[in-house]
Amino acid sequence: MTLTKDLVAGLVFILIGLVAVVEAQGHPMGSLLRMGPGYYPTLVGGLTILVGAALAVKGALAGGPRVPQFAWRELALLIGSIVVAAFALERLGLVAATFLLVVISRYASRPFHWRSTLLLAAALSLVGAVIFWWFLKLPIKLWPESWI
Amino acid sequence: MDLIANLSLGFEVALSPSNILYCVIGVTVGTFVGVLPGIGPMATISMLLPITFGLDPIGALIMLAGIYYGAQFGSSVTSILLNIPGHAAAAVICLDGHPMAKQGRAAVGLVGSAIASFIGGSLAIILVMQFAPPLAKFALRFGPAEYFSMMALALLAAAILSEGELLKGIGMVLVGLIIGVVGIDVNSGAQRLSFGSWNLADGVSFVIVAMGVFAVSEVMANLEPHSKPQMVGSDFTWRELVPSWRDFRQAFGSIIRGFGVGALFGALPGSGPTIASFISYSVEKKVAREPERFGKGALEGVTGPESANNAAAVAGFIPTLTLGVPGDAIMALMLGCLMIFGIQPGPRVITDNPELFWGLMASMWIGNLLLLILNIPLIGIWVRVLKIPYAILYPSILLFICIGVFATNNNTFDILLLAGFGAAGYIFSKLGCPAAPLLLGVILGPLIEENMRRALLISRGDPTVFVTHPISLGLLLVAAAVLAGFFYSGFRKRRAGLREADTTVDG
Repeated sequence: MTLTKDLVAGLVFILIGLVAVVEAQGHPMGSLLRMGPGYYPTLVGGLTILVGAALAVKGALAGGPRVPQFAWRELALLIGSIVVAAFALERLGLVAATFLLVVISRYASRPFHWRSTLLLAAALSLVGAVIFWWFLKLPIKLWPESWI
Repeated sequence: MDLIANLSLGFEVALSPSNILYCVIGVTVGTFVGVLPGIGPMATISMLLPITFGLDPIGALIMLAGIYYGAQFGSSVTSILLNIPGHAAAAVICLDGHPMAKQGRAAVGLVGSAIASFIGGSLAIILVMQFAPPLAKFALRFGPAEYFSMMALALLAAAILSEGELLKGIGMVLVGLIIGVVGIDVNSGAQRLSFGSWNLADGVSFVIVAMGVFAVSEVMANLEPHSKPQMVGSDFTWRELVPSWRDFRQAFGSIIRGFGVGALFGALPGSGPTIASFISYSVEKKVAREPERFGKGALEGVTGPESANNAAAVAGFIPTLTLGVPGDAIMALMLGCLMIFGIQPGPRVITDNPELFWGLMASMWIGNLLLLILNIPLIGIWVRVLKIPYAILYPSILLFICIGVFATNNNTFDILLLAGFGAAGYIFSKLGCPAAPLLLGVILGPLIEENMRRALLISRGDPTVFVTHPISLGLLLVAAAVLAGFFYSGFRKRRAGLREADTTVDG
């Protein structure tokens, strides 16, 4: 069986629907008159499973375009840079978060040059500090606290 | 006549020097912050909200309204030039606006969108002034069953207008509805789908979903090894800023239609600019002689939704001010601001605070005019943004998105959520699943559940309530007709395709 887009998308929908339905079983169902917190997620999750199943069957039987190659390296670097920046922003401050975000995400696209990347990170740190810290006064720190 | 008296009262308020100043500041700052990629009207307004607390209620509301449409224009700019919608309604602008930019017609798209906003907004203001009381009265007849049916119609429209198959569109709407479930259930206090995390107790903000599935996954798509970066530099002359006669003829009808759609959906509480622009896009696609141009840079695909968007934004003040029901998250912010100033939104605002209502209406017209005057000369600057190499631009975009997401709640957990939705958006786009229906599902999800539960409570658990109320039945019939029309045209296309195949074989 070939992995068509429809088949995989259908399976993803089924999985998401299952998560919703299973989680909803931990909440009271209630009745049509007085719906409990579990009623609506069960309904919507069930519909998602049905749609997913229809899509998956269609994809398995009727064929269609295959799932294209994923750019896993770029995806990991890009998403990774955001995750690292999120942790760094809280613990190390805006400047360190900016440098980490820029260097890691920039590494995803070739050609990569250290000099221009670090220059960009420095410039963005300055702009970010002016806009977000000084002008908009977001509750963020610029440097790790232990430095001050 | 009443209207003349009200109008002159309104302009008297709006043309006071301090209120004009607030309007200018609001529009300028709103556009400036709104043009920063990934910072949409929601984030812009919440960030700038504290500035207005020192003003009187009317001045504050006028300035907030200025920030609102300034930011909205700003997000149209980023939608067209960078394919990054600052908010849900602008997602529609990306569909044809960005392809226009890729073809080097960014200037026409931007000018078209500014003019469409202005015309749609101005017409809507006249309409609101004329019809505010009767429209509010009609909307008063809406019960939960009607809201439910209306939202079901909007979601179905979103699934149909999205590119790709209907099943995938519906699936994405449903996934959006599931994401909308996350957080504390208002009726029971139960924490649903939050997996014990307090960070998810307030639910997932649609701002995060939008930035993830549109902005981050777009950056990702551009980084694919064999893809050319989507950033296209375009040289343009001042001559190109003037739309050609053909452009004008093409766009004019769509602006008027967009205004009609926007005025209707903006005035209905619970709907708003997002639904209006989505529906306007599908209307334009339906009435077009060559619907296949859509998604590839059709000017009407920008001007129609833009006009609808702004008309709905203006009309959206009706339910917000007269019923106390915000049309969308932005109107909810306005509502919160009013209450901070001690004004209780409800049917009595127009009679008790006529200078506030009419002053706001007049200032909106002035603000829309200012937007047009300020922005057409500045378009050159926005287009120049495109000449920055992508290797410099995308880390900058990422930084602005991350901080923008952080700024909406001041919570770094939201940045992690952004990363998750970015990855999910990329994977979904690889599987041919459209992102816009997902976003609409996320926004409407909580409302649809709330109204379904309320409708069934009122009808004592009788599910036929949705088809026995005439307005609700009408809305559902429209939904069914839309669906039937979709299948009919698909069927005809397939038959036409088969016939073509037959003739090729025969020939």
